[in-house]
Amino acid sequence: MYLKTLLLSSTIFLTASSLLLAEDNSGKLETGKTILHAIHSDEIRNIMQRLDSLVYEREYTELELQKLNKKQIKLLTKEALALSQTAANLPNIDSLNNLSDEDQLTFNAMATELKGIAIELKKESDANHETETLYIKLQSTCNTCHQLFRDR
Amino acid sequence: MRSRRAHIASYLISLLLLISLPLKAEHDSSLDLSIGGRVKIDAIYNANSVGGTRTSKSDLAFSPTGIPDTSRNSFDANLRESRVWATLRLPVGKNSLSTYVEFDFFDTKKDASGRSHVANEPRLRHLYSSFRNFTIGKTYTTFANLSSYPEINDANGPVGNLLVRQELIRYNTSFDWGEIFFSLEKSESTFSLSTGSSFQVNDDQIPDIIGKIKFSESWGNISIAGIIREINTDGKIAIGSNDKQWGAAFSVAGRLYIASQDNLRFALSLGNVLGRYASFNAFNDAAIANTGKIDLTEIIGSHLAYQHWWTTTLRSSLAIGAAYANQDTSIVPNTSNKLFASSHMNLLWSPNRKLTLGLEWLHAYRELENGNNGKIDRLHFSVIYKF
Repeated sequence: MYLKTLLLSSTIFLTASSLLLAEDNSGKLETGKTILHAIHSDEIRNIMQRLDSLVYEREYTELELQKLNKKQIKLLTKEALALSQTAANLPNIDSLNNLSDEDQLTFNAMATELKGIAIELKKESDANHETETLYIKLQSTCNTCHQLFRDR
Repeated sequence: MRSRRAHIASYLISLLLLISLPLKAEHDSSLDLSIGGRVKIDAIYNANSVGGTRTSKSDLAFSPTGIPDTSRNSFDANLRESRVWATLRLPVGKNSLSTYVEFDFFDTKKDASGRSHVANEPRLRHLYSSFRNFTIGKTYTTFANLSSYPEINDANGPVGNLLVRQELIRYNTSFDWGEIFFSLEKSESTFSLSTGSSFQVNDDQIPDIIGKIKFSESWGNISIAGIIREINTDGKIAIGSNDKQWGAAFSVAGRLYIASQDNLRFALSLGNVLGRYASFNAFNDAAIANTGKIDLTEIIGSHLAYQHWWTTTLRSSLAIGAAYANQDTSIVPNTSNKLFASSHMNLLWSPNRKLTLGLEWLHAYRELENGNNGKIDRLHFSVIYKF
């Protein structure tokens, strides 16, 4: 009886979890460019928070933590590259973003910078080099761009 | 027969080592050595103490078999879960050979007097090397999924989890969707005798065989692991009887991110050779009759933990777990363990990345085959400083 209850509760839990995930993914497919940008941005924020929280892991060895760090950096660069691609197209596509020529140049420059940092970050992470400086630079680029353009 | 098996095993290990060697080894003198660790101070109040000599660790780190039937309050403080580690990277061609060693201070065998100056013996937790896809040495079993382990103050964790460190040789390969693992690990058959005592053969012949597949993405990870073991009496229990049986067990475990950093961590394991892998030796691998015949113990264990982040520095975890063994009471006495359950609840605060302070409450339950039961309640305050 006890075994059955445990099995049943675990099955319910696993099914519910997968449904939650499925709902999350379906949202991404039905969005426009602006929302897509926001989704990439949220995803990057989530990955960054998980990267930061790796320091609180208690059972992983240092070598395993480095491996996990590398994995999160890989996810981060994937999202950052996707975001830079979306961001580069935003001023042309979305009528809500009627930027001046000068602002558009700045916006595109920042998207290009984000792409450059993401590529460099992945390269340094793959080579087991220190990535903190680039990580901070990526954070800074995101924050600067949001401060300049998000609330327009 | 045994020498032939040993010969085959040594041949296989040599073959794996040869495969793992780089095709073109170019040794570089530039070594990368890192040293670090953590200081962990625990202050523990046990509402229902295990009692006994101070060599018992049950008052310090939760051990389900230490759940008492009688009560006696106690307070203890220690630094045994402090750790020191070192990593060494040696470039070999385009790859690197990584070696890791880690100690804690949880060896209490010389602690009977309770005096602080003899109470903190170093204990080896990990010592392994990794090269390309191979890992050789002592570390956590491949059967476990470490990311399913909740962030709690207690050194052992909820009932139902798998936290065994042992000698192994492991191969793993990564894909975009996750990883695949295969390992041969140290074997050790443990038996429940008809007298109620526990017995280890120490002459096992075939390593434990483990395979695992792990799916990882930004949503978290889920792993499915299987283990095959030979449980062997080696004629040590009943003269002339050398019974052995093969058994298997499976585990599904993982961590799922629900919203931002909030996450669910879980593990469900079941099988007839879970024995020493599950819940800190709560059960043995098998029971053995006076005739020497083996009766494998069917075990099911599970834990579920939810972690909520109140702010970027303040978080709580609620972890519950249970483990149950189906044993034949015509072989083992009715004073054998039948069911364990535990719950941990905490509030942890990290004012900076190096420091964490936390308060935790633990409640655990133990039931024997004859229906007798006991519980413990524990308040656990910890400070961790990483360096």
